[in-house]
Amino acid sequence: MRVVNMVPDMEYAVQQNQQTLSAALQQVSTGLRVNKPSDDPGASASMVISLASSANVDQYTSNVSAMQSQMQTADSALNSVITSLNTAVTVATAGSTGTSSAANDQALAAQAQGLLSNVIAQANTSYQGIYAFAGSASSSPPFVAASTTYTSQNGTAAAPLSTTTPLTAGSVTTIHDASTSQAFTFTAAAGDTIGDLASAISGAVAAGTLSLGTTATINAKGELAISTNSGTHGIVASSNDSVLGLVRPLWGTDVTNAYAYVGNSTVNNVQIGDSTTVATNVPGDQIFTAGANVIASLTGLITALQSGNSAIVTSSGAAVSAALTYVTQQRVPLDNTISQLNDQDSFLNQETLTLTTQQNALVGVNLATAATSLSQAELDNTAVLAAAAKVLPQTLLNYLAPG
Amino acid sequence: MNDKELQDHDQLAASYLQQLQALAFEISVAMDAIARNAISSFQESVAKQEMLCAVLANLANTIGAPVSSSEQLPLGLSDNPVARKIRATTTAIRDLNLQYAALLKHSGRSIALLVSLCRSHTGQLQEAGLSRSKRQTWSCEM
Amino acid sequence: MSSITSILSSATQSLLAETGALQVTSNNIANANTPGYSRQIPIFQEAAPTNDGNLSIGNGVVLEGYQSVRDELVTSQIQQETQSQSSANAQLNTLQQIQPTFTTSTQDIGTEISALFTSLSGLSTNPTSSAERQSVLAAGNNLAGAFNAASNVLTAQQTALNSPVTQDVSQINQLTQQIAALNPQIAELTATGQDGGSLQDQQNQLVLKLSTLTNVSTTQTAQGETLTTGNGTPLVVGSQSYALQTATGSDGMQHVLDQNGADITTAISSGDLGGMIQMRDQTIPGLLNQLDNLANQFGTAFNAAQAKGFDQNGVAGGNFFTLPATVAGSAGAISMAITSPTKIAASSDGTAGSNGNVANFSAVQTTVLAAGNTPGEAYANLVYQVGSLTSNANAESSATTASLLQLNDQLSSVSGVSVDQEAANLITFQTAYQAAARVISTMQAMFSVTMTMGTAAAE
Repeated sequence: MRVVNMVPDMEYAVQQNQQTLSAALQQVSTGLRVNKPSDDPGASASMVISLASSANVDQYTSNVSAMQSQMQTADSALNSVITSLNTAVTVATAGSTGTSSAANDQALAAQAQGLLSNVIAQANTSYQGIYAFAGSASSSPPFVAASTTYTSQNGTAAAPLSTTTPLTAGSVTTIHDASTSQAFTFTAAAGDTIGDLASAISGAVAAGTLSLGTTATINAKGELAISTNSGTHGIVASSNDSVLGLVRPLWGTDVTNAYAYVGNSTVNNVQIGDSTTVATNVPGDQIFTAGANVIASLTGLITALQSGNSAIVTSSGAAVSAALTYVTQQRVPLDNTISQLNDQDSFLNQETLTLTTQQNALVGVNLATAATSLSQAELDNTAVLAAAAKVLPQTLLNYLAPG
Repeated sequence: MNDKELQDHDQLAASYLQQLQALAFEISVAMDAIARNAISSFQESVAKQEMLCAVLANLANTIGAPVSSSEQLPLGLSDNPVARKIRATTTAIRDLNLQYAALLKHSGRSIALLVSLCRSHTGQLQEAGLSRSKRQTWSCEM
Repeated sequence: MSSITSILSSATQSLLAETGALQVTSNNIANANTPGYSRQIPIFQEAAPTNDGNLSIGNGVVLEGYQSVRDELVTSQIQQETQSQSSANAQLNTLQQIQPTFTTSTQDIGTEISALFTSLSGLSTNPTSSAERQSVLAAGNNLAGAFNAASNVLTAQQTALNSPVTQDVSQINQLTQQIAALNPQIAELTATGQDGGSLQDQQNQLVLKLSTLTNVSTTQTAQGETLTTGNGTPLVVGSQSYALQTATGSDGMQHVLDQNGADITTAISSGDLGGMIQMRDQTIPGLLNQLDNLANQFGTAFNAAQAKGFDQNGVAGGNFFTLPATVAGSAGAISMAITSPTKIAASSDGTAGSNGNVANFSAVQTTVLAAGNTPGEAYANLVYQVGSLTSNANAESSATTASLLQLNDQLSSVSGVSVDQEAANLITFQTAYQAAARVISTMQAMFSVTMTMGTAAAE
């Protein structure tokens, strides 16, 4: 039997061993069993999905945190509103006895005014520039003090605006009414004039959207004047039409204790879990001017106290009580959301742990095990080279010696 | 899962790991035997592999029985030391198996060719004297 | 397999016909069981045949004939395995360059897709925040960049495979010239009944080198070895060698042509050249196609989401990504269409503070795109493919190395036994291989079992 050449066999054994050795080395130095997709294609593919889940969970956690802050701010505001309303009920009771003096009534009215101011301040609460109760129009305060008259910047006596002046197509003019708590919006179509705007406003008055007597006319200065023509009804008006220019309140026409809601009713939702979203806000027109209208009830109380008529004070006191009940109810879903956020926080922490464990299981290596494998591979390497030395020529062995 | 069940489970897992490691070793022995044309070593190794697979299948059935803890990850994905080693060994076996299967494919082809050559040579082959080229006319189209 | 069997038996048939064959029973094979027999001992080679008319029957002749055929077969198998090994190595080489792009750790497409979605989720908590909007823009840019980078790596690797193709072809031509030159010299020797000797060994080495470069078919003829490649393109016939050429094709790649100018690129299936051509013309284009589909479909879905909403100024959303007109090249060309953070269409009603449209963006993460997967799954598939291709090329490379070892052992070991005995040995191997193959299937099934073993069942 001819002797089989041993060299190829030895070379093969050494090469296999070298590969085992370098794989063990890499595992120890990186702490990873899977350093590239070919190490384990299935695990690598699974990692892509798992890492994406982890990233989402991290973001949900961050969202929860942001929402918790926003909701806490809103909740504190409502808490303060409830406190003020409780005080207002006491004030109403004090003023409805019929034995209160006129001076006392005025004092009570002033107190009620302070309470209203606080409620408005709370309604305009913001967190990091986001107004909590403005719906999605959250960049500016939702409750604005109303005036009887708003005038346009454009138009002079020499070059007055007129009812035939064309408006810019697509421009939007808005009037928020503090008394009706409703908003009127006019979007100019191509060819519309100021006269069409005025007609639309009349239509809104007839429909009850705007207070009775509200008009849009050209004043002596040639400006467009939108006015309630009443000392007790206030509006907030705005327009983005360059033909009119900035529409702003006429100085000295502010209506005491009248506030219009200039936000909207949009509710934003934020995802805090793969299939879990929460509402991030409650619109101001849902809490403060809907149902038992909080602001109207306080305004009514102030007026009643100023009138000194105890019967009217009693009925306005009842309205304030109703408002208190209403706000307390409105607070419940908010508190529930805060609760839900806290629960979600715990769940997400657990998810993170599960995912991390899963990822470690997919690609991680136990360092103690890896170190043992490395030692073993090094031992094997020495043994193989020693065996090779017995069969291979010296020059070849030098080539194969570990680097 | 109560303590006794847990202990049994751990023992089974450790046993599974041992058998897996033995299987990995046997595969590399088999590959080596193929390369050296050592038929009896190869047959021995394949027989051992068959036995190990049977033992592993049995163990897997036992270990795969429902576990009471609902938060437990599958054994293959959980993070305890034994599970990690099982995973590492399984991956090693999978890699070896790829090479082993490829080697069997290639060597199998070579052996099959030689076998068919042998078959075509049963019966007699004439050569018309030394003047005739010893080369046969044949072509190797794979 | 059937072709080799039929070719062998037809060779046998023609030989029998040539010598006016008659089946003659013989105990030649039994006599071959002489102890100490070795190929090296000349006695057997020179064993005097028994002459009977035109027929020569003898011990050594039969075994010599079988032995030489067997060695030819093993040599040919070595050539085949060498071709496979070189092809696998060529593919492995390119795949190892491509693989780092398809990671799961950082700045890869999967990570950037994920980051884009999380930045949008963050934006939903504060739609007017300039910082959050900037994050979304940055994430979009990073993703476009990741697509561009991946596409560039693939096309660069593809282009880089052109000059080696030319080099291999030139090497092939040098080798075929040398092989052809040896044919007449060897034919002269064997015509007089002598062994080809060292010239034959030399030629075998050259053919082996040629096998590292391309797939080669070998046919023994009276004029020496005939070599063909591809689907029968001649390389060497007798003393004549036929050069291959390269030319730039309409796809900008180097094509391999035969001596008449016919394109045989797709017929080069093995060897270094075959491996490179496989990568350049099949594998890489396949990966690029998937990448382009992902970029195009993802970009389109994102643009659709943007169109459903309004930006911070109340204007209806325009395109988020800019895509080319064709799907091909989408990954390489994709870029951000918006540069100002206010243009991100987060709002669903035109007010700046609305986040209603973010849900439409988030939905893309779980949307099954036209190619049949969600974006994350599509990328995971790419990672899996690249990993698999690389791991398989690696396995093939190792396996062919081991197989070559076995074949070389076969070549240098002695078959000093009867053909029947050799057949019996080989069949034992075959049976063992079949048993081994069954065990492999069992092992494959075990992998998934191991991973799910111990899964909690509902109580």
